[in-house]
Amino acid sequence: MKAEEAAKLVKGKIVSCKEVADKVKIRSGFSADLMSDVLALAISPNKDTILITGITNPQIVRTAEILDIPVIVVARGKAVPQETIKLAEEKGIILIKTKLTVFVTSGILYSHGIKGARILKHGRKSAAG
Amino acid sequence: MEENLLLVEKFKIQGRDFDRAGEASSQIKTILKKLNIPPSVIRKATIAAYETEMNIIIYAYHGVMTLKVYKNKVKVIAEDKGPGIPDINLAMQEGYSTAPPEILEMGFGAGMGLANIKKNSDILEIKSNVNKGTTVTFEVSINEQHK
Ligand SMILES: Nc1ncnc2c1ncn2[C@@H]1O[C@H](COP(=O)(O)OP(=O)(O)OP(=O)(O)O)[C@@H](O)[C@H]1O
Ligand SMILES: [Mg+2]
Repeated sequence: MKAEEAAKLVKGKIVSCKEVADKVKIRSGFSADLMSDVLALAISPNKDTILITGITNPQIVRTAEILDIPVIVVARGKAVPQETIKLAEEKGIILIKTKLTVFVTSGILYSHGIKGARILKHGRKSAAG
Repeated sequence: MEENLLLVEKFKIQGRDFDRAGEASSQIKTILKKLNIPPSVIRKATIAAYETEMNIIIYAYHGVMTLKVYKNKVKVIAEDKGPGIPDINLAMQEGYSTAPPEILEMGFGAGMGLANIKKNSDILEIKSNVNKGTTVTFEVSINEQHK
């Protein structure tokens, strides 16, 4: 699914890198508010994972950059600070904001075929939700 | 072996500088990519570097991260001036955190950072003196299988 389509499905607004939203493809997703959980578990080997979070500060962009995550959804209708948007533009990461909760956002994307991101278990890769 | 040293780069980290938090690790990632280090090694080294950098920003006053790239490994030495860690074994435990609420709001304080550094590195050494500072040194090796 294209990032643009994901934004539509979750009734979201694209606030950075809009011009590439019809090109970037996502296939898997991961939801978390604690960045160390994302760093510990999520892998995006094909650069096609979407991160869904309730956190709004620039650290979500840093985390995405480090893990090659191309798209982030900020849920719960929180205001996204300008610094976060600016950093996302700089790093080429698409930011989508939505009023829906993390739970509902994840549910919608999952029901449209976005699988759970591959997660790391004891240092080994495994396929899981 | 020092003769296999390809590159040394130093990064200054300022405590509580949340605007630049992660910048050093981002630069480390760029450098490793340019050197054609295998992707799995880049991934491990940058995750460990980012957790290390965030810990300095959150807990210490200031610090320096030194990146050393060798033919067969990536090494990071992070020295900080700060409160130190009284019980390293306790701090290493998954879930242990002294992060205040405002840090949790930023997405940190899961108590997973040090454990993440350990998981992503082949060698990890932590030395700490209370009220003086902490030195975290880790290495990610570049094996034949990565090439
Ligand atoms: N450089 C440091 N100086 C002083 N204390 C530190 C330092 N690094 C870690 N600590 C202490 O060790 C604890 C555990 O660190 P760790 O990185 O594992 O988790 P965290 O930073 O609390 O949360 P997370 O990394 O998951 O966001 C910290 O809460 C802090 O008390
Ligand atoms: Mg930490």
